[in-house]
Amino acid sequence: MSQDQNDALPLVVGLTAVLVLFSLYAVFIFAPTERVMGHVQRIFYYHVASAWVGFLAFLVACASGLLYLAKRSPRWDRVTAASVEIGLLFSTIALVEGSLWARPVWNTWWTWDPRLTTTLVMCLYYATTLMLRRLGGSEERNARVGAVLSIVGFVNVPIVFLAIRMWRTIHPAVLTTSGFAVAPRMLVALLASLLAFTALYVCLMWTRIRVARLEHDVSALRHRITATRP
Amino acid sequence: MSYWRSVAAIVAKDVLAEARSREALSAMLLFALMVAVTFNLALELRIDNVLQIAPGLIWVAFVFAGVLGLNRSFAAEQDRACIEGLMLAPVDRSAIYIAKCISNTLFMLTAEALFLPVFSVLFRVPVGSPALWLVVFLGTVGFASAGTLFAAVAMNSRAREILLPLLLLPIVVPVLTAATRSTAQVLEGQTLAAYAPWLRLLLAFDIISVVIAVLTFEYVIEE
Amino acid sequence: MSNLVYLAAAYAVAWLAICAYLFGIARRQRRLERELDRLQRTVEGKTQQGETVR
Repeated sequence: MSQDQNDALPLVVGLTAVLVLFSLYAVFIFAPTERVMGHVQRIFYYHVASAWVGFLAFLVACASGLLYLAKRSPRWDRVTAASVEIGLLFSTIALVEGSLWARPVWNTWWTWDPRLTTTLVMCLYYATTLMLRRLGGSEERNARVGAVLSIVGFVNVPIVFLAIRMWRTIHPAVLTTSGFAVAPRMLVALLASLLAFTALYVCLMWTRIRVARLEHDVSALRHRITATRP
Repeated sequence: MSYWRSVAAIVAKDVLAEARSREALSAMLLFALMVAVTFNLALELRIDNVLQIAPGLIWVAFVFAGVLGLNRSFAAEQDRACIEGLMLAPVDRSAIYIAKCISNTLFMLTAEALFLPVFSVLFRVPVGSPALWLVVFLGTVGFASAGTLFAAVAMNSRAREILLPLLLLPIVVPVLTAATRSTAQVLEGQTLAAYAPWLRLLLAFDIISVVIAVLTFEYVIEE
Repeated sequence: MSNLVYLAAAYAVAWLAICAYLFGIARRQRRLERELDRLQRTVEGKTQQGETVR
């Protein structure tokens, strides 16, 4: 990673912090209180933002998987690995937040509702691909297989989206054919949260990829040293 | 050797090997039956609720048995390094995939064809309708096409038996959904118009799955 | 209003998870940088002794 890129990181972090603070203001002060559920409904903003960032991360992983297979550069594998990890992090956060919201509102921690089930299944799939990398094998093979798995695995995302249409569900639909089913000030808070979380995603990716690069350098250096040992 | 002749040769090899030993087939059939019986014990099936549970039960049995068969299909190749021999053949790697997919589908269909009559007797559910067999066929192709790809991925790994189902099942969620829904509708005697959308979904999944697998198989199998 | 507990918990979970992840990355980074330093010193040591390290 070039020195210039490393110098830009504090700027990005600073911008992220600003966006996060703004989103917190939007969520807790600007957004109105929901009539039926009360304040607990505010979980909605971070819940949806987490879920969306999860999907974004898996989309990026799919794209970088394709790029890896096309160019065979290790850099794309690092992007794939980082994006899958971070996507899994945000998807899990979304599931937990959803559960914490469901308990007071639906009176249960979990239901085998299609949206929840397909999301859980998606998380299990990507967790498995991460586990696969730890089971050994050459870096090149892991990168190749990881690329294919993240390309094919992206089909999970439309499955989660269409779960609402394929089954009957108690999960509320925000995005309908007639536009956003959400009040204007809530929309602002939602967009603020989305922006903040996307910025967070960029920060996390940055640091994670930097670590992956370091790992690569360390292992390469180790190889060079042991290769010349008598 | 031309592409399709290579495919046919690999399929013939698999079928011949299986016909001699009948290992995979008997394992799959017995496992499917065991699953059905276990479910019966666990769920206390009675005559009045059989039709509600039968579709799910059938497809769970097929999935478990299918995973068993898929695991063995590549495990058998690894024994004595057959897979390297196959890869040295001067033919596109995707031929190996197509052949494996065809033989896996054939074995699964055979096991299912033996399972369903027994299931019909045990649970008093009619299985004669051709629509049911169409659903079974389309669902099996979808399952086997994705399964063959992931079996190749899991093949070289230590945790092969765990990895295959963990990777495969999320991807075949559309197949399972469409298959169980349309099976339920067929068993209830509904018209073709009722379950045609599910059949279309299955067909679309099958085609997309095979295409993607053919495109990505070579990246998964090179050493 | 015990519902506020759930609200607080949800936001806490999100931030804790993200911070924990970042902390883990930072720790890995420091460990790797130390390791890289150590390896680079080994390489320099070897080249000074006349060994070739390609």
